[in-house]
Amino acid sequence: MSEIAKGQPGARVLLMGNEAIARGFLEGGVQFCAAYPGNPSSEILENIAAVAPDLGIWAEWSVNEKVALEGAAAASFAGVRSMAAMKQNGVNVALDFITNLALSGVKAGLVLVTCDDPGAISSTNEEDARFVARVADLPLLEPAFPEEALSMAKYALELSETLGSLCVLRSVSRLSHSREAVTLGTLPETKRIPEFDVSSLWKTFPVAPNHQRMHRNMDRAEAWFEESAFNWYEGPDRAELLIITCGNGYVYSREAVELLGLGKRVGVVKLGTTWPLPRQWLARQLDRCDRILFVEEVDPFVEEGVKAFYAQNCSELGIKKFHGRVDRTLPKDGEMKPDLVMLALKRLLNPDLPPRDREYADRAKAVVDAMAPPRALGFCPGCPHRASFWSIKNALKLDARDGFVSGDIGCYTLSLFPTGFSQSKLTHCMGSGLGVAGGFMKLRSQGFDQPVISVVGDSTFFHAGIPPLVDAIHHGAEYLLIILDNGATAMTGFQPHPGLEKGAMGPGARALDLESVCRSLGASVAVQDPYDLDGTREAIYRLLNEEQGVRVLILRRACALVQRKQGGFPYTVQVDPQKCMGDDCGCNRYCTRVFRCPGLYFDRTTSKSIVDEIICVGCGVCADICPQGAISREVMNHAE
Amino acid sequence: MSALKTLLKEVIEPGLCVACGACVSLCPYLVFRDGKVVCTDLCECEQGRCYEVCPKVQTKKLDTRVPPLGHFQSVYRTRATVDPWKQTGQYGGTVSALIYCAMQEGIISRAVLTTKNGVGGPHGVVAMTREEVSACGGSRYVGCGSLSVFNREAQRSVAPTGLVALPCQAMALSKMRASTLTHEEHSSSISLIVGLFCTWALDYRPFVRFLKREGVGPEIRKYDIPPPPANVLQIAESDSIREFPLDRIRPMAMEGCGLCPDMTAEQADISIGALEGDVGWNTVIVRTELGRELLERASGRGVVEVAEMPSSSLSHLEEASVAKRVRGSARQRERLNRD
Repeated sequence: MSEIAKGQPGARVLLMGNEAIARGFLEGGVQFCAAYPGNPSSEILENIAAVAPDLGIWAEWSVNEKVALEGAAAASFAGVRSMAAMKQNGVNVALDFITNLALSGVKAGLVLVTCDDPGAISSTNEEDARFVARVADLPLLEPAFPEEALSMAKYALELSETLGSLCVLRSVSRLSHSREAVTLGTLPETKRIPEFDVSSLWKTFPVAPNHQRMHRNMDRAEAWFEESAFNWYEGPDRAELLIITCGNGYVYSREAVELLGLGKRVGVVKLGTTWPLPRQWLARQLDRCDRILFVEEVDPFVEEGVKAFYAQNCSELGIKKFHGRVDRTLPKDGEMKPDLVMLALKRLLNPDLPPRDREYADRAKAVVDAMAPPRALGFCPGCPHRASFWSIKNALKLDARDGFVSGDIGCYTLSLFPTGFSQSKLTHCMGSGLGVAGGFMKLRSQGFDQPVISVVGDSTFFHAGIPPLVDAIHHGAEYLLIILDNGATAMTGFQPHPGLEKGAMGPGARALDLESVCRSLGASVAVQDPYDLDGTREAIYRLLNEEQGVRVLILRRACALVQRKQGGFPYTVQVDPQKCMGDDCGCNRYCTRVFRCPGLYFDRTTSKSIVDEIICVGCGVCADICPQGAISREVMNHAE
Repeated sequence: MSALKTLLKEVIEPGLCVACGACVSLCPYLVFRDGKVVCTDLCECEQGRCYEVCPKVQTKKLDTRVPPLGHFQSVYRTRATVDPWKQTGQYGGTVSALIYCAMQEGIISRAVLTTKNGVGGPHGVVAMTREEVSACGGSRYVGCGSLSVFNREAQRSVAPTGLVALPCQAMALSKMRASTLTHEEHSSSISLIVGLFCTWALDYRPFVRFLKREGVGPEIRKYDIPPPPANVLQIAESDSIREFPLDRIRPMAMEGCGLCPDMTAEQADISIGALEGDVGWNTVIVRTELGRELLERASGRGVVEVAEMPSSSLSHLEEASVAKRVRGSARQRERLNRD
């Protein structure tokens, strides 16, 4: 049962930021929730979906973030509160709708949650999605800790409804995933009945008056933000240094100030409403001090906003010195950390801080390095993608025409690295692999003659792969499209997608058939089990040489982790040390050094490969790799 | 640098591989597919059998004291006198007749030959019966990697094996026997090498694309390059014969062939080719004791007819052989100087 459903109103429950946001929306009366999986946002929809059937509300994993927001907007137009959650890339996907929705306005409260990934820990880019508030003239709220995330989510729905405007709530990884005790509020007793007023019009034009209306909305929001309890000041009346911060920058700043003992010298201006900026309130804080340090995640968004209004009013405000990411007091990119804030404070205020013992620091580092050696990213043992890219690698080599893979987003993105035999040469955003592959093939008439394989996952294909496939078929861009169908949106947590008969709220969704979709568009379709290495390699090799029309090859095999949950794998795998050739000419550690499944390791003392029984899952694929046939797989007796 | 990397750098990447197949089937890193030797992954062994056996790796300067036809005992003209060899041979049918005779005499228990057609073009095959030998009769003019099949079989079981080898393949087999890296049992299977005369061989993949464009194939009954002044390649399908000027065909010859100095398979036990001016006969160069003994036994069994080699044909053969040697060594020097 979801954490957010446990406990009565008034109870204190340990919740992570995303759970608190989910709970806040429920308390705010949300009835339509849509999202696409993406770290660090996924738990929001997951938790709402867990309770949605009981509450009689709608929760879905949409095919992509644009559709998610469009669906949520419909609910809003029908008078029912709604939300759409996504990571920063999802904002990019939904941006066209966002900028138009900003002009048309909304009816019931609608909140867009963006969970950004500073440092790109699990993303292809590092991006500050708060820009969307400036671009589309939308109010923006940034919680600093889970308890505030709950109250802001609730407030955001009300603000949106009062203004008739989409509102943005922004979180980052550390807020979304850290936990604190949160007090639960009450869930609404009644639900609204959705109904669309057919006398209403939801459109963007005439644009100019609507644009003006948005600006007036922002003025109204600013007036409320001037009084908001989400903004406050901590510290001396007059400070030597002012930290202006928001989001989890607030907790890092407090930690840094406390650790350095600077509580009497440094004031912290904590902003929760970061667009539009409450300028009068800020002007009063600026009065406390002439030196300002900005601490925020990813871009100098608040920094530049404050500087802009300061420049407008500098004759009244006096001379100030600003520090932050722009002057590189803090790094211009990468995730914010308490250490970085402490270093900045050291540089600016030079507090009495005894240095760390150098010798101790070196010894500690040596110990840690030995315990945690650098490790390459890798596919799980038994991952069908390892087998798929093995076959792709071999087929492309046999084809010998400098063919290559245009990659995409999912676990299989790792095919950029040795775990996937470094097959993918291009990776950008969801579905881009197909568009890029198509572009290459369109250069054929000008002499481009290399085969191109576009590789995409099942979920990514539904998300963004259909339009470029249509384009390729229409333009005769005849690539080989390989769809890796592992039956889940695996990388983000096995969420369902349109290829499955279940949705966020359980069974009952309709599964689309990948083969039929591709065939009806005009591609030829073949299906293989990637665990069958020979069969898959031959199929790819044959299709590379066919070169008539767009060919689709579906490599279908459930994700290894899903297989594990469903009862595991059939085999025990062993290496016969008599047959293993190890380092010698004729093998040279083919299974461990080249195939690289973590279930196998090379024992340097005996110069033989061994199966690591803890890591090996028993998929049996490596038995087909060994040139000496030294690896055997035997069907396990499950009774053992 | 590993042996495989060196092989790639010196032979495969510059396009000099002649698809003999000697480096294939020893390990998973080198594979023969559709007429081409392909490296699928990199091996890090400092010393490797692949590099040791490759005939395109220059190990010593060409010995200019070697006679134009290589070292040999005698030269004859011969032809098979019994079926099926009379029917299945390209010219005199001597190659197939001698291979089968070697089997009957117990000199070999199996032979590695080349198929006529098949998926991926002509390729190596093991023959142990009369039918299997006769199915392989006739000339192919493409690189077919048949030594890969020898490697595979020799690792499965040690047994006296006969091989029909192009000059590059005979050289590779020689290197295999000489290498300290090759396992003893492996090269001990090499019992008889029947060499073929060769000027060049075609690169299979471009050739097959050419045939497709010309509407030829896929099943070919016979290839032939008739003697000058014809200057054509004849391809016989089931019911027709197509002819292509050699000027259109030669550009598809493997580049590595241009560096080869050996026309008559100087490393073989016995080397066999066409006889100038008479399509019913073969030229046979007997080099080793084994070669001599085999020819004697075949003649004794009444399977082949052995006759004197006309001296004008012999001197023309020597001229052609010298010409290839000069061309080949010049190109080889050119390539070494370029590096």
